[in-house]
Amino acid sequence: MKLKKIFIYALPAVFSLSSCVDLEYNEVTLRDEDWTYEFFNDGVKNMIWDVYAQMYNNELADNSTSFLAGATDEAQYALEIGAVNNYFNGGWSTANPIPDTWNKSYTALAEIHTILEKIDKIDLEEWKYNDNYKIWQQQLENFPYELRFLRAYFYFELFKTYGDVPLVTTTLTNGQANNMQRTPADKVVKFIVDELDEIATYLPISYADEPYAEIGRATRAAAYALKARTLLYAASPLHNPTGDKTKWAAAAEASKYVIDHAKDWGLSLSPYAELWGDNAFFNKELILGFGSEPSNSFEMANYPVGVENGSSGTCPTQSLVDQYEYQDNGQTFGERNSGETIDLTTNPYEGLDPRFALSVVKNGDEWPSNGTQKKVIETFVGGFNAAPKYGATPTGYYLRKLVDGSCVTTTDNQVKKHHTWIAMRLAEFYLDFAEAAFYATGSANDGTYGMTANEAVNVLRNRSDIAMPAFTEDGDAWVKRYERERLVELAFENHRFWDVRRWMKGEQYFKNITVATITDAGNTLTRTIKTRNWDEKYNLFPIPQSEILKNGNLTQNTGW
Amino acid sequence: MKKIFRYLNIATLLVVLSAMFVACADTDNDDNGNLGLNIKVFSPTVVVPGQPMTINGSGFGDVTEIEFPGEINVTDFEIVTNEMIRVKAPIGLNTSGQLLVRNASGETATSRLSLTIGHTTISGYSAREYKEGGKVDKDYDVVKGNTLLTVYGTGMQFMSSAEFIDEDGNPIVVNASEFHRVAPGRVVIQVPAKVLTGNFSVKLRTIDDNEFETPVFAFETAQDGGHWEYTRRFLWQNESGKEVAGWSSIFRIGLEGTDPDKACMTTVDEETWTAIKDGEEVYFLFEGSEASNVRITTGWWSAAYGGPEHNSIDMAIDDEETGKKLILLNFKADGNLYDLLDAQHLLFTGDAYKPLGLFVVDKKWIEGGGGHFETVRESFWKNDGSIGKPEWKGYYRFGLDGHDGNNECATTFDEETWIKFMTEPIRIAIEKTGDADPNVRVTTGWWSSDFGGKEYNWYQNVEQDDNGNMFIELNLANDADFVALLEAQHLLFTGDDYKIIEIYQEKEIWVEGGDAKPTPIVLWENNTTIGALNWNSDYRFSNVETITKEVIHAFSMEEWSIIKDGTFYLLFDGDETSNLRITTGWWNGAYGGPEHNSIDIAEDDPDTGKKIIKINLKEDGNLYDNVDAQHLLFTGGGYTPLKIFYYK
Repeated sequence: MKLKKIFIYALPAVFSLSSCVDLEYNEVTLRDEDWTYEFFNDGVKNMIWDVYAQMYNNELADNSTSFLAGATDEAQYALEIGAVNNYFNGGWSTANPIPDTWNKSYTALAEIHTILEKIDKIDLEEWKYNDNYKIWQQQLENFPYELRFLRAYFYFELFKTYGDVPLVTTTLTNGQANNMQRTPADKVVKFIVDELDEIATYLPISYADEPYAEIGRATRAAAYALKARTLLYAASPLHNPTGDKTKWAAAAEASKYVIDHAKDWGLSLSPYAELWGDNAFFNKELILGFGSEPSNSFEMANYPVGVENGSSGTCPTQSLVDQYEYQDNGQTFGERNSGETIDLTTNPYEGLDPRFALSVVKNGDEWPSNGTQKKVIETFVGGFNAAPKYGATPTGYYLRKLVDGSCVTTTDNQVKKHHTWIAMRLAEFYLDFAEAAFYATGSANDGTYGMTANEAVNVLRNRSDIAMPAFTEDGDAWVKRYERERLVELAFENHRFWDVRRWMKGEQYFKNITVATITDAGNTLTRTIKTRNWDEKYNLFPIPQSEILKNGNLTQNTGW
Repeated sequence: MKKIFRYLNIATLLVVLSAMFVACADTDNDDNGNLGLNIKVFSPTVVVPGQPMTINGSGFGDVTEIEFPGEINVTDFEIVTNEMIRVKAPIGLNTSGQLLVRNASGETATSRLSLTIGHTTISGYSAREYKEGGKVDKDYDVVKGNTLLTVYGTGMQFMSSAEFIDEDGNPIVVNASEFHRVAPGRVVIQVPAKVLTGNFSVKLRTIDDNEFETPVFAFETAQDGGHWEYTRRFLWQNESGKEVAGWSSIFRIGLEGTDPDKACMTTVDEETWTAIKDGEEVYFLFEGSEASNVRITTGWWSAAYGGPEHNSIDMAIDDEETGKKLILLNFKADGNLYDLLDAQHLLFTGDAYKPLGLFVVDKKWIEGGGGHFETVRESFWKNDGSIGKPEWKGYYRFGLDGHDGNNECATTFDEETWIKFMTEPIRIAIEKTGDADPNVRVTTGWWSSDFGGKEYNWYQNVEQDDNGNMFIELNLANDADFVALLEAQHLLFTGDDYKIIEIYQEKEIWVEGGDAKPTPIVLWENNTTIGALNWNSDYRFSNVETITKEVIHAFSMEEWSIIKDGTFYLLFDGDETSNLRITTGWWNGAYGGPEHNSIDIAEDDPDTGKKIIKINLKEDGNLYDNVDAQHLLFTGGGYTPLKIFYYK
């Protein structure tokens, strides 16, 4: 049956697993199905781009609830009304399932299945004398594999967020959608891994060699990286309550595969400071990134209060600062400067891991870096960028990582730059491998997989711009140091929120957060504990109540 | 022209979404969502036997059989969900047609689409085949390791592997998952780095076991992919300086723990003993002549290597490296001593020679160019066994020559070595003396200051070398205050529960290698009158395909591949005050990082007295993706580009 005319597709506010709407609508519409199949750039290709676009959750948008650091021990949002606070202030519920990963993912999956089931109808024959015809054909060959990658990606997001989820592999009728059952997470993981294994070979290593050089699309590296990340999550205590070592082993092998092939795939570790900024989209460490057009919204959201149009935003905590190690001997800031108060006149920040200064703005730093707005930041009480100013940092620090200091946020003569959200980068997989190899073998010095956990971590520690003391620990001491290293390396990249959940250590890390109050014109730092709500049910998100009401087969996650 | 992919911002997203359509299923839509058995689609639609496929539809939960065209029934498949099946196209499939699925109730459903049998045909290659008697580059191409070879044709997505030959004549199979690119019209294969230098055909195989042989191509092991390096690893060395004379029994070596009577000169650990006893190629290095009598026997004189009372001098060859003599030993193959060695030890006796050592040769692949990096070890001090654990005393004390009036130091070093200690990383090889973890304190002879921090225990920084030996790497240069004390107070390693075995340094040095010295090939020479740069855009380069009027020189595509993917050099007239910005014609990014002045990586060129900078755009990454479309631009101030070249 040929489809009727296209209707205006609106993102559904209330929505089951997919939508299939009766298309008796007859008003003037934009395009019909035939048109879509017959026009490459504006039709077919745009359908693919639309799915890609849904991967991005506005992590770098101002006041985004998808910038999760404020819901972890990494940061505290400057304002109590910040939506990210809902994760721990009681505002999070089945009726307020922030963000709505469920609906977003299943919408994307519906689009993917629609395209996959109709892709044979695409007919560009009319264009065969067009100069671009051959190129379009080449791109078209790739689309099914890209769509299957995207499907695996959205299923990872669902599994990570909810655990067991309905495994939908086709377009659905309303009746089907409202009768789906939750598939056990292990089966969802198997699906993701099997899909990625099957398609990876057919994805390009780099789009730089492909027609139009449209980098940013799914690559072979992205497929194997997603597989490795999925297996790591599947092996973690939240999804592996029995501690099945074969799951850790699978994760170790998958991460090692990424590490071993990184060079062939054109990947290499980057200086830390180059992971964000105007050109970050082309960074050789980036496996998958979401680039945006020039903007300074993120800077407006996170520049300190007192900087024109700065709103403080996501403010690093003392809990985070305490985890950075000193370069001379690996002691942490918290260990070397224990106690409720610290004398800042001794400059206790000197000699810290270089990643600290790149990630955190502290009292006395010159920030932002653009010549128009650069000033010495004062985070001490009464200082220019501090309380009692409304919206000033509640932690004594401001965010530097991911913030492009060259953006100018003055009302006139603004400077905007491209931003890139790091979805996957190579360094993560050294850490993933280290964790998986440790738990698979029981030791950080076991070389069963061709590299020990310590060697993997030390690859990152030995980068010339980092140069931190090597890991030599084993056992519990290793776990503690590794979790700290992972926090530091991947700070503000939305890993911490999920890592602590899959480790089931929310009580340990997310309940009591230490913030700093700086006083005495910047000479004294006082630590204060802020207590947040934490409940073990938070490890998995609640399925939207609206979905449960429509489909009696959907059971809610425990505790919600 | 390159077009960079950027994600759609939200406004564009809505525009696109308004062009979306949503599909309805054609089939029944009852309240419980039971659509019955139905095939919507399967993929791929063009397959070969053995190829993985997926089938999508509904009602698959109790499917028992899949019928392929030609009435081939398959029962081995995976029901992923009620709506998806994974299956491999069966062997013997040779007919096109629709798929049919059958469930336990006997119901069937047929696919809308037809399955087509795929075929692979090869139409060409990216390299020209070898021509006997022909000339390289003129008549045929040399395909180098680590470069890409493209095979064109149809049905290329069915390729499963490519088989090359390595230096030893063994096959190297590259599987499709390792191909650089797999697409219906082409596969792009990265030639293995260690490919044989020679002429041969590559075997290409498909999923359905068809085999294609390429024409004969001329291959060459990767120049920039590295080479094998052979290093000697001594299992035992004669540190006594003594010789074998008069049939003495001095040179007796045994396994640790088997010498209660202390008859051995030395005993070795189990790993070393196994390497000596079981090694297929163990070299005995000695100083001797044809007049030497080299009896390799047991400590009990019960048998001899090579046969009863055999003089192994007849097996000796000249060692090119040292000018001494070598005998290749394989105790297992020889058989005369093998079963006796554990209990009776190994004895080198006879007359008129000096044993120097036993070693094996380690083979290591070294990444690198025509030369290679070599790890050079310089030993500054070795523990002759006279110093044990420090016991928090001053045993391991070291000073500068002429600054140890009280003879407190284990040894003193000459000035050159002392300066190395103070300014470069050095390694302290240690071993534990017991079960407890050592405490390794690095301090001064006066105990006045601790390196690394107060009472810092350096054992937490211990590492292991390739042989599993523990070492601690120190860089005293990190603490100038500490270094300032050492001339007067000496350097002291104290603590407990460890022993220092050796103090040494390892450096990687670049060794020019290969058969010939690398030849500079000039890609461009400045014959213009433009002169020195002052932030102008005159020195702009492109390839011939993207040339525009702003370009001063366009490279051929082959030359451009060196510029873009290889290592090349810029010779220029400038000095330390020059500002050397390497960017694109659009001034988009800079080599080395944002607004980077690359003068910091320039070196003096000894041949011309000018300055030279080594450039690798791919490794740097800042310009690589843009340089095709945006060109390569040398700008900045205070220098004049003279030449662009690379080494062959």
